[in-house]
Amino acid sequence: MTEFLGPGEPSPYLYDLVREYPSRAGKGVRPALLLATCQAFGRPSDEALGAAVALEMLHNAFLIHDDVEDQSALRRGNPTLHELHGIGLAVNAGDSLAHLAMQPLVGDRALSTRLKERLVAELLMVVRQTTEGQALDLGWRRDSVVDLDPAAYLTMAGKKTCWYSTVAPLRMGAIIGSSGTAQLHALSRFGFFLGVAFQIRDDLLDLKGGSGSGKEPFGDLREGKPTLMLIHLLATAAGDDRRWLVDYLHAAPSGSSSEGACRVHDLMVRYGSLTYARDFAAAMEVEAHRAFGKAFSTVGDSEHLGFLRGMIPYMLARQS
Amino acid sequence: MTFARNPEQAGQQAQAVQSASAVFEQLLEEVEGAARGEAGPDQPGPALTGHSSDQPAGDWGLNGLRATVMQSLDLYSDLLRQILGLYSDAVQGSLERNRGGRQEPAHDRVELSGMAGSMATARLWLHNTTAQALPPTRLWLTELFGHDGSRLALAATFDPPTVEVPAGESAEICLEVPIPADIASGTYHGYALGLGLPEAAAQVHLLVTS
Repeated sequence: MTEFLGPGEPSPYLYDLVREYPSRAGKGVRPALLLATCQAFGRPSDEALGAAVALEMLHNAFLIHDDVEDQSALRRGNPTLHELHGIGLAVNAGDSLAHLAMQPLVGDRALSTRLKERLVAELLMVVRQTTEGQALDLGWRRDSVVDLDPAAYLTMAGKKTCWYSTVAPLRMGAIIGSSGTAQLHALSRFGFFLGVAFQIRDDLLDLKGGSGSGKEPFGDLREGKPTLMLIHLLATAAGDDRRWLVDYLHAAPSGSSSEGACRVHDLMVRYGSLTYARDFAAAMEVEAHRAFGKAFSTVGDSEHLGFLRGMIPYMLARQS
Repeated sequence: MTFARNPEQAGQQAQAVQSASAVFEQLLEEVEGAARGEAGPDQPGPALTGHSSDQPAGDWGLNGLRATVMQSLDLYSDLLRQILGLYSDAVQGSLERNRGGRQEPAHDRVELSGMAGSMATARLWLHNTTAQALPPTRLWLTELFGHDGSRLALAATFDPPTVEVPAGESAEICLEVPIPADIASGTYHGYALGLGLPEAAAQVHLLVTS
């Protein structure tokens, strides 16, 4: 990424900002999935580097805008970009990074024209799915929608998180590794279940908070984010509890408080919403393991396949 | 991996997987539908296929072979694309030169300069942009005219005196002009012409200095 985000002017207003999130240590889950999938399908990782860099740059661009949209104060343990430089410059830096993300792929000399066209289409689909998922999330919050079901949550999570975090890296890696001949349905299914399990765990992790997570504790509860736990709570809470919860969500995020977020958490514990979400995530994890076998049934065993297999517990057991 | 604690939990988890599977299939159909829509209603979407175009799982060695074949085809495809691009550029350049030669012959200009009494020399090129060889052709220089109506008939020599140019090739010719000792300083204009080449004419400018 450093190569594509080199020095440029105006540096203090744009390129320093563009480099900010990529310079903060992230987990690199998406490029790791993409590169390992390419290698599992038999091609060297350098052929997939351009695509991996493009996806990671796009991820960082999403994070900049996501932080503005969610009014988050912290990202990877440090102040968010808009906290440091203001909303205008942060949004502009996100725009720039999103467009610069195409560069490593379009200019990639290691790939044929046909593969590049397919990969650019995949990257554009990432933008489409992610922004659609984000629109559902933000729209539901703005309108304080309280009658969502798990299928609605899965649709939102599938678009907003799974597609660009797990499905697209697997698909893009396989396209490069197999020169476009790989089966993508089974890979996509594996990515979807892994991504859903990851998102639910991530939402559960938010309830722990603390400095280790790099996020504010109960941030999702204060924002009224439609998590699986909240959807379950809205469906099971009764009487005054539900009435208070609906009022709380109508007031969020501006009218929410730490006390209110703590009360939502207590209700989630009391009504079994946390247990429900944990069990749901566990079912997704079991299905991800099943889908993994089918997804990679056409490739031989290798250290790269072992790495990918190991990504399931790594992603789902992580504490930060 | 986590397992269900009781039958009720197992039922809930099975329902969760069923619900998630339905959402996944709908999402994938939406993605592939979008790709098909971009490709046109009668064509399968080549860009984002993963479901409808899937081949049945087979021996991974065979899949590796398919990948290698596709990679080779890609290489040849890109090579062919580059060759066609270069050929297209060359044809376009040739056409532009051809068109320019017929319509704007005056842009071919030969510059000569020297003092009165000296010898002026210049080089000019004859480009044969046709598909036929140019037979031996003699070149000659018209009279040169001054702004005041003065006329100069110079004993110009071309080396070689006759040129033969194969189809699509060019020939270099040296023009030598003795400048009379008694002419006034100034610029004189004329043409270098080829006998039997009515379309070919190169402007000749002679600058005489004192």
